[in-house]
Amino acid sequence: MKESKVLNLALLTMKNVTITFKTSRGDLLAIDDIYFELNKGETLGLVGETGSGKTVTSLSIMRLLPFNAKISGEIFFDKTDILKLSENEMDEIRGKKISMIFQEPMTAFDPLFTIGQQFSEVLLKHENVSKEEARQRTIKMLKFVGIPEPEQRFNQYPHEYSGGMIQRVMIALALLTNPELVIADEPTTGLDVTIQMQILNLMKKIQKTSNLSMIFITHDLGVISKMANKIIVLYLGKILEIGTVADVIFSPIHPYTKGLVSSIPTLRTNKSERLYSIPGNVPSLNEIGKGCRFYSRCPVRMDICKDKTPQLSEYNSGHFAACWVANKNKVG
Amino acid sequence: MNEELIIADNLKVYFPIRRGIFLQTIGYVKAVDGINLTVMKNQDLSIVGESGSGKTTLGKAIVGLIRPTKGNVFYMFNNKNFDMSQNLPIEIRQSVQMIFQDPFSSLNPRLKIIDTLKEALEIRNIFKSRNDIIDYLGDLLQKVGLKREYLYRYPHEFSGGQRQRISIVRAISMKPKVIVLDEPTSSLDVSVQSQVLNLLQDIKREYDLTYIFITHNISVAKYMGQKIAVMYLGKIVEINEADNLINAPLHPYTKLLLSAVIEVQSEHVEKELKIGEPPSPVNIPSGCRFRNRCPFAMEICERTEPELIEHENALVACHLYSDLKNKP
Repeated sequence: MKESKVLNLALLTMKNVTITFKTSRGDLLAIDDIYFELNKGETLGLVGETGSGKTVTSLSIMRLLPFNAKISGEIFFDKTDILKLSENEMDEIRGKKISMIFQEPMTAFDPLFTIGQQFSEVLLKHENVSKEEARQRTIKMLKFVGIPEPEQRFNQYPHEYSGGMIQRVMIALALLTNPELVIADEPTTGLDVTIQMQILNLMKKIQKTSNLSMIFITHDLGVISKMANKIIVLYLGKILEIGTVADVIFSPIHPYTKGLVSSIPTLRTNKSERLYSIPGNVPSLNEIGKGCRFYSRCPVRMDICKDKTPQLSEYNSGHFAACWVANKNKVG
Repeated sequence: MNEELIIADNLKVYFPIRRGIFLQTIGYVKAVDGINLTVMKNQDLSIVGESGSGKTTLGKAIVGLIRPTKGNVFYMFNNKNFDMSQNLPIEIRQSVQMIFQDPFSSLNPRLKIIDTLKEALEIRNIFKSRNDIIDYLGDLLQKVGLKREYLYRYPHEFSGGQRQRISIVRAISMKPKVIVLDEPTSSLDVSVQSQVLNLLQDIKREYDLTYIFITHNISVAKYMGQKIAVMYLGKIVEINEADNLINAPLHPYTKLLLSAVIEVQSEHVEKELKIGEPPSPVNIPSGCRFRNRCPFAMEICERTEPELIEHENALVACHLYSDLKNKP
């Protein structure tokens, strides 16, 4: 009974999704059997370092993976498995019901068309509107994200906008068709702290005023702790920990999450203090063994970790982690 | 101990903007616009600011990679004063090193690590044989946590963190006194950033170095520097001891920067900051260059550019702390 209720709420369900890339050096397992749900109105933070599979996950939801990728499992969006849809059916969803905010807005926009043309194109494609109507809606949207003089800005090219402004335009474009899910891939990386604050304030405002679901991808734990309801920690294509912000950031279970949280210098860090650091580098995908993916860098590893992959298990209600050591402490 | 090491004296670096078929100069980008700065021995200085504030240009001018348009950078070496924009003997020039932001473009992809690293040593001609050089560099690689055999690999075989360690070896192999570090960790993963910061702290102690650490991350600036200088549009607006600057910022811009810092531990306060965006360094506003974004802007700020003055042991360029504001 309880379960069916949860299922009804879920807008997006990634069910046992595995993604491999065929390369000349063999198959690379980029995403290894991940499972998560995203409810309506919820913001999910995907945290991870280089190569963790954050971007691959988001591209799989948009069905924009490169041709050498092989995906198995199911991705339910609004109760339909989008992996089974035809390309035409997917066109109806992509850009309309699911939209994306990219990391580098300067390169994500086409430099040869005005902002107005690029916005209108989306509306003319997805909604049966006249050109004038498209113009009006674009201007309204630009105004909403705080672009001054939107009527003039409509006819300007991307290069005429500053870095902070073009990112707001990017957000406006993502919201244009009233999507149900927005995927934001590192939307504030590379921006100055002051502009980052403006963008995050804008996205908070959007969270409050609409029932939008969001996937927020970042490597910045500070940013994610302000934006998300739920956090997933990815490492080399595996979910290591999943839970609320309070769970994951303030009482992390997995040694990797613990390491990440304590290795960031803050304004309160003393100069004489040594920063905590996770030893070693993130290994490349073809170097991982069959056991826990964090094995090579783990400060508390045991023998079992080398050969057997730990599964996610629940510690508090809704707080999961995949770690043999934590599991051992839990049991006895 | 209180030895002056580097002095920037009214340093200005302007880049001309050229247009038209005769490439006439139609204006200047004033990247560094009148900076006075003293770096003391063993007193690491962090320089923070938004993009376009001129941090990197200042760093390059200090090392002598960019010739100043006006003003000088003086460098004290063996109790003598040298002007960095002049042709200096190589041992003096090499004692001021720089580590760059992007480890993917700062190492020559066509050269093995050994060939990149040995070049400067061969020019100096301190080592008798090639084997001595290899021994020396191998030791240094081990010191930064890499293996000796990495000398014979190419840059593409390394991760970002490893490359940045190689850049560190390149800098310290010259036995420098000063290293200018331009955002050395901003392109690294979080877990690798802390490794590199720790390594830099260890090396500093061992080699008796002085760092000039350029970053946009105030938390990192505080961790790495005894002092912090805040730059805005080519000028320094505040310099203070790192702890004091964080705990009791004076300049409105410093306050703005600090309030925009987002940290894991901090409570989220919904701040409706009037943040604005920096104007372009081509059209710098009259008077105080921060006044368009400043919540405390007064009439005088439009007319007179504030000088860096001493206030509670800090140096700050703001009319809120000058005597001028009370005069008509």
